[in-house]
Amino acid sequence: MIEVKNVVKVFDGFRALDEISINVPKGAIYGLVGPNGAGKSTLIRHLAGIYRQNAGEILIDGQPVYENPDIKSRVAYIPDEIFYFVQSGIKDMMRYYRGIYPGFDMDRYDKLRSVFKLDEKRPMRRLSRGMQKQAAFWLALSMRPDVLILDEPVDGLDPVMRRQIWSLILGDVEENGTTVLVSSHNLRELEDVCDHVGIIHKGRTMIEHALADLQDNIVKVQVVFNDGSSLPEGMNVLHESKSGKITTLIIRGRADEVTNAIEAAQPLFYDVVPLTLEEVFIYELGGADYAVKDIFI
Amino acid sequence: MRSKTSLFNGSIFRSNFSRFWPLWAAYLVLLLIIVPTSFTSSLRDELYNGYLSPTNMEIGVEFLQVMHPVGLILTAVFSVFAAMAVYSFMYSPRTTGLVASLPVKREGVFLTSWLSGYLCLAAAQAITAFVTILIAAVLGRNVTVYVLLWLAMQLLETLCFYGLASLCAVLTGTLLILPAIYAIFNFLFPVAQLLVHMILEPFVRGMSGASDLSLMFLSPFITLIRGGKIGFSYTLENGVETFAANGMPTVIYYAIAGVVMSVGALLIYRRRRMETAADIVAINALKPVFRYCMAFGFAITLGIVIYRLVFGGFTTPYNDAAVKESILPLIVSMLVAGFIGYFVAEMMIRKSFKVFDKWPGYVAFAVVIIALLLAVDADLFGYERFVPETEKVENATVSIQGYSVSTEDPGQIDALRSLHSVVIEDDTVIPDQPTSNLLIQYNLRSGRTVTRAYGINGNALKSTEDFLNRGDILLARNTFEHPVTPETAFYSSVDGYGPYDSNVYFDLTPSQTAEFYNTCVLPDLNEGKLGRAVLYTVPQPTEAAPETMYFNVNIVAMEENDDGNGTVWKDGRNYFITPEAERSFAFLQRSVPAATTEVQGENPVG
Repeated sequence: MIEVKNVVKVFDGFRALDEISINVPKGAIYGLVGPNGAGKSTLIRHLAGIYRQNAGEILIDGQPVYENPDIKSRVAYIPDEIFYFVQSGIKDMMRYYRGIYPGFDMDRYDKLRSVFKLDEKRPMRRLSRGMQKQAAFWLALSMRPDVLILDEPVDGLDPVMRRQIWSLILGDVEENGTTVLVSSHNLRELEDVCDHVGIIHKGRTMIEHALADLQDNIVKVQVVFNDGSSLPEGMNVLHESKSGKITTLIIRGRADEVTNAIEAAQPLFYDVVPLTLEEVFIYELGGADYAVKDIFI
Repeated sequence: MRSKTSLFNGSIFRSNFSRFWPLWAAYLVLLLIIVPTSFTSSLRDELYNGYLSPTNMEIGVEFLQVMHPVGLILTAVFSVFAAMAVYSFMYSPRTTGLVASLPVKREGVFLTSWLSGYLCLAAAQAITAFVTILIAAVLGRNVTVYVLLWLAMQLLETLCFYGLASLCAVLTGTLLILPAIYAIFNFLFPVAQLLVHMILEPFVRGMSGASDLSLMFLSPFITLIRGGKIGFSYTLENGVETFAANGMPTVIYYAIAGVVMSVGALLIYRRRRMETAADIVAINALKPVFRYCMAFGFAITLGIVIYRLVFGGFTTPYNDAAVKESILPLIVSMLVAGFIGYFVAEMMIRKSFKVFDKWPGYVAFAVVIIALLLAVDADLFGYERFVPETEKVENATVSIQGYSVSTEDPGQIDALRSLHSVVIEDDTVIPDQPTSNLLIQYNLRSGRTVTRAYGINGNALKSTEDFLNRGDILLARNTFEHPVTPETAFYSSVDGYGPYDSNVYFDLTPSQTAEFYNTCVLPDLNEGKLGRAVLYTVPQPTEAAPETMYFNVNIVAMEENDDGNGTVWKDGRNYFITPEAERSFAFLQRSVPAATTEVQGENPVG
């Protein structure tokens, strides 16, 4: 559905995107994660057709996005900082989008009014950040997009509204096969909704997997070894820490393979648990020189 | 699912119209307040003050004469306001992102924005024209033709200014820079040329600061408002009213230029990177241009100030090679000012004070400035020595101390070239003697104009006097181009200066004027007894004839304009008549009417 192939973007000599590639299947909810400055928002602006890449391809359904109104009319984009005209209220923006997006659904807009309960005539600049986000979702979902691109979408929203909005999005995914690409630092939330994850760092893709595969491929083991016994040879340990007799290991490998290997060492106690997305993010980036440093000031 | 977008998007158009309505309303209200009142004031004068009733054509022409420049100023100002409004989405990352993410091609966004701005301005002009025609009709006047002509010129001039504003809009990423560069582009080239000439005057002999602004045409505002090419005239001959509107082709040329600039703006916008919103210069390739233009601009503006205040420059006569100013202080002044301009530009581009790593570019600028100024000082371009060849000159004009002659005659042009060569060779003035300003202008067949100005005295002044008193030149300076007959002559006003402060003032009738001119003035001119230029050879007082009278005569007759339309206009020639011009003097003495003689001394004239 969405294909980014070796895209390069240079800003005044700085390579913000450095031959980055991602692949988002149709109907997927794809979490794009990465540290600050990794290039997430830059990549998203390319996907929205705002920026033009220096090299590479950005395709949706096999067609380039840039300067392609047919494709862009099927894409709704909610940026980190909401777009609106200074004097305009939600109703003004609705009229504006309705005249531009052929798929804009007035029935849905009317139905969503009861969900968001916002003053449509009030200038958007007078709405709080959270209300502006709600307005953006109201308008975006009314477009009935095939592709929904969200950059830090739920920042500023209260927990109830977050759940409400995710519920609407997931409903669209289920009913219409909408493809969603979402960038966020709230990895616990992404873990709940995403089925695919891409981690990018310094403008490059580090990892891209289905979330289940990603979590299956790396495990956390808490183990207490007998005197004289130790971890079997050949295990790919990403991180090791010790607290008393308990050793905590982050090991790359499938849970069943790691379990078998640990059992073979006959420890006094062991427990193999899947990693959260946040842990995957931290340990993967640790290997890419982005670890939490023990700094004493 | 097909997009319903194309090169025009109604939603963007409606949004521009509704979001910026106060701007369109302000323009309309201003036009409605100013424009219709132009002719209603004429009619009010007629109604309340009992003035002679003007005809529709008179009112229409007056309307155009006043309202064309007024409308032009409003158009120039509101065109840039309109551009600031409809292209405002380019200047904030937020709105840039909004518009760029829409399923509308860039051509569609630009053309819709362009059209919304232009049509809103045009609508205000059209409504104003309609209201003006309506008010005139209510007052019993039909000025439709003139108001529609005004409207047509407004629409065309708006194309020009709005096109320029559109071009400026896509070059920058900062809203407030747009009106600044719009203003600069409107005046840049003639002002820069004027400043360069002003700077070089003390160093380049013959350079005239104000009289050779060949780049004036690059300033649409100056050209359209005072270029001398646009005018409206009304004449009444034998009961037949005639109306002439000159300059429509000029307006059309500038409108075409406006369309070309709009197309250029579209092409640039298509390539413009959206991430440049909020940058001073939105096009990467133009950043060096901006840097060097700022350096040069500062060099010729701040450089002048530094040179004048710090080095006391521009104080010696520009014509005097003996006391010619040293160019080194000017070089230093321009380099210091250029340094400031260059790095201020870089600071604006980078939005940072850490810019001095760009020093190689400044060094290149400095080298070019030093080389150019030294070359100019040494006249390596041959400017000071240049005298165009006779066959390349279409016509030439020379003027000094109120004497002026224009000629197309190759022999006279050759004589002028000889004079010019003498002036060039004689490059020093005599100290403590006043100088006279000599202006020589050649209009070449190539369309180029060569203008030189000199302050001269001594031998150069004597040569100039000899040239002006050459038989054919003397005639050319003092005769009418067309025959002076009782039909073409208007009158002659005569001032007579007698002894003991006794003066006479009287007029000659048209037939007297024709007789005086043909039977007295022309023969006296042919014999060189009249019309001689006095520059160098100062006539001695005629002590032997203390009661001698002198006459100053101004003959006014009709001439035909050389615009090919046969436009008739009045022209005058002035003659200072002494007893040496026997025929003319005798005629005037005979013509002094006793009744008009004013006696101020004890000895009356006559």
